[in-house]
Amino acid sequence: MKTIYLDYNATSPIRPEVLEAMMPYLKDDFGNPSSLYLVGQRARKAVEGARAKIAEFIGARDPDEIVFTSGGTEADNLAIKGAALGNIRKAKRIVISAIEHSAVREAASFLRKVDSFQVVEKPVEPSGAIDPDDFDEFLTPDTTLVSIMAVNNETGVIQPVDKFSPGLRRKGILFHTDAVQAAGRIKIDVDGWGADLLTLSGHKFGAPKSVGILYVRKGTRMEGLIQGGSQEKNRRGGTENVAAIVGMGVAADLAKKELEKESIRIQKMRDNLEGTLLSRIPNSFVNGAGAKRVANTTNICFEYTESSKMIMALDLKGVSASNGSACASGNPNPSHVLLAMGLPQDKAHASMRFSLGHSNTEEEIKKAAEIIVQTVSEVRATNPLWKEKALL
Amino acid sequence: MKPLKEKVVIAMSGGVDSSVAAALAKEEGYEVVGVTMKLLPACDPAFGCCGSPEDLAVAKRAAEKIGIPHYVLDFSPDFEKDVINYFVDSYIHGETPNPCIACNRHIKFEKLAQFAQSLNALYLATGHYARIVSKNWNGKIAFHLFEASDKSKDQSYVLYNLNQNNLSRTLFPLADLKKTEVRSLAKKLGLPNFDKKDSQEICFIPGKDYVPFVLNKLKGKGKDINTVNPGPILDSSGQKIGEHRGVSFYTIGQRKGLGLTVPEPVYVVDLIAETNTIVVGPEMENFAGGLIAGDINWVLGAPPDTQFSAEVKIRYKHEPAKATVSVNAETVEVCFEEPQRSVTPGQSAVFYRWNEKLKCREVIGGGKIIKKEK
Repeated sequence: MKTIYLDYNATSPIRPEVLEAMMPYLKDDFGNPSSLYLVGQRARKAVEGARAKIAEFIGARDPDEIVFTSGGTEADNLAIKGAALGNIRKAKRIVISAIEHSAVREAASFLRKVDSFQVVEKPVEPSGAIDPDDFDEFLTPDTTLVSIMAVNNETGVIQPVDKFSPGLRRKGILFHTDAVQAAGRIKIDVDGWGADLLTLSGHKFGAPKSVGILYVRKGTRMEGLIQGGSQEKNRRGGTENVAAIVGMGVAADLAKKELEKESIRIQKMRDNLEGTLLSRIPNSFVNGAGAKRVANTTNICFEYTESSKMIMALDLKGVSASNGSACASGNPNPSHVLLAMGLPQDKAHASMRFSLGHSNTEEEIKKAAEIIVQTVSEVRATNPLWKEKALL
Repeated sequence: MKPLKEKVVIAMSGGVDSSVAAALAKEEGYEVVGVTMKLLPACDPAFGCCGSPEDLAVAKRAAEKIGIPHYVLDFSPDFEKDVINYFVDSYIHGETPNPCIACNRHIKFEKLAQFAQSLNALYLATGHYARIVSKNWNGKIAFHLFEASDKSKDQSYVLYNLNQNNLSRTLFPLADLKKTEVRSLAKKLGLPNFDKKDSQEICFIPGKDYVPFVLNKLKGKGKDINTVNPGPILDSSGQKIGEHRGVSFYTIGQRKGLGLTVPEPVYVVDLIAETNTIVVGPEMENFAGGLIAGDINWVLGAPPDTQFSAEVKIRYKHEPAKATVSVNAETVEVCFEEPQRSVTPGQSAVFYRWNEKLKCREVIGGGKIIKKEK
């Protein structure tokens, strides 16, 4: 039974072109980019080539503003902790949104724990978007950094990131945006967004896992977190994951090239899926419907169901989907994002996320829709509250 | 065309019993799917509660070793309602609860079983030491519940609420095995938990002390609940001989921790919630000739007769005692042949009958002890 994969926001398959580009660096071109001899120089060239591709992908003016990391989580940590420690004489206050990925939240929380940083959370609107208008009241002279993601991983809601930075720049406050879920879905423009720091994660857009970048605008004061090597201009020590970096460069090229066409194709499938589910399943609604969303994501609450049961039941029928937390321990704490949007606990527990991508086909989506409709019905049938409701 | 294997959902706690049960079910030829229930909202790994991240990880590794898929299901809201609230409520009423009985009844064999059914599973399997025997009675199949082979580990006591509907869809792979055999099987299969200690405590309370747990659950409301506040200790003649911390914190038959200076040992003989009073007495006053039980379940759907003889077990660690069981409309009266110690309201009375052919006891039914009788 072939699985229908609907969890692209968790991870995506490596594109064949990406794998092909990586292979030489997993075989004969094994050099260390820091080595002075030919085989090392070839590796260095490959890394720098990828760096230039990524710079272009996000509209960075200088490839040196790209720092390769082991992924989005490390890049978020570097942004938050690195910028905080790099500007510690200035201030010790960080503002993040209520819907950030845990890498941002916990990096900030860590600073609070070990160095008494003040961490303030800007609430999210019920629509799922952060409101830029009342932002000024969150900013004080002793604020170092603001971090607001470009696209939310659970709802797919596009945040108005271009609206935040003017106010921040005036006050000398750094602006970081976690753009992990934006890659390949909306155009990333560090200048247009006024971003001083920006995070990308390779495995979300067709590159391998454990590779990502932090964009660091020239002139931004930042401490490295991984000492022990002068790589990445002393900002991130450690021998580069050459093959994965090369792969990510190719993936970025593909994402840029296909952005428009893929968005249209995927939006059609997402809208079909969403439309079918909402019309065939009573007591269901989209989380984040009132805001602008990327084309591939739909987060739907199926009332009177429970997401861990839905995940298992769907998996046994060959559909892979999640409830927003890729945590295998079945974290019973429902999505903090949905709760922050004002959703009651039981509805947050009953919400599922379907995120589409490159390899999904219309036929697959049609089939998946049928399976989901049936599964909701079966899971509801085991809920005494649903039975009660049906009797009313 | 090869017939599709029948699906079995097995509840895996991370302990050695449920892991071996899963392996045995797979060996039988079933398509086994392992499930671990998350029962608590937020569990500190240090607590060692059931469903803690530690147990989850062990269950997953065991499932991997056996070669079956494994999922974690969140039953914490149901568990809170059907087990934890019941547990606290029971103590507030001066009774002594058995949460395992509540969990088996409402969570495992109701909510989990229903979910397994919705997945088209033929059976829900567990690592319980108990046995189901089906018998054809003139064309109709009845499912009988018996003690397990290993009497020292037998858990049929906590399963007395199962009915025909439950039993027809349940599998107990460990029915015929001794615990020692289970452990060596686990070792042979290379399971990660072959030498994991058996859990002795209540799965949602770290350590052995339920008092702080109950107090925490009551939070601010403690002042309004009389049974968690101090009250009088009386002797059997009604004379006050001391003070207690609250009826909720004691159990029938308790001797230690009463804070009394008396010439001979005394035991808690009665807990009276309405007046928040504890009555103590010498050992012989802790014996009762019988009891009344309610909320009865008959495994076969009906009692064998309006009056029948049985061996009745009144707590988990109790040797079943010969008695006569009389069935009334809503309750049952049990008269012991010999008076029994510490008959405790809130605990369950389970009625067994010896089966000569199988050389073990069958669970006929059971109910909750409402009160003891002289």
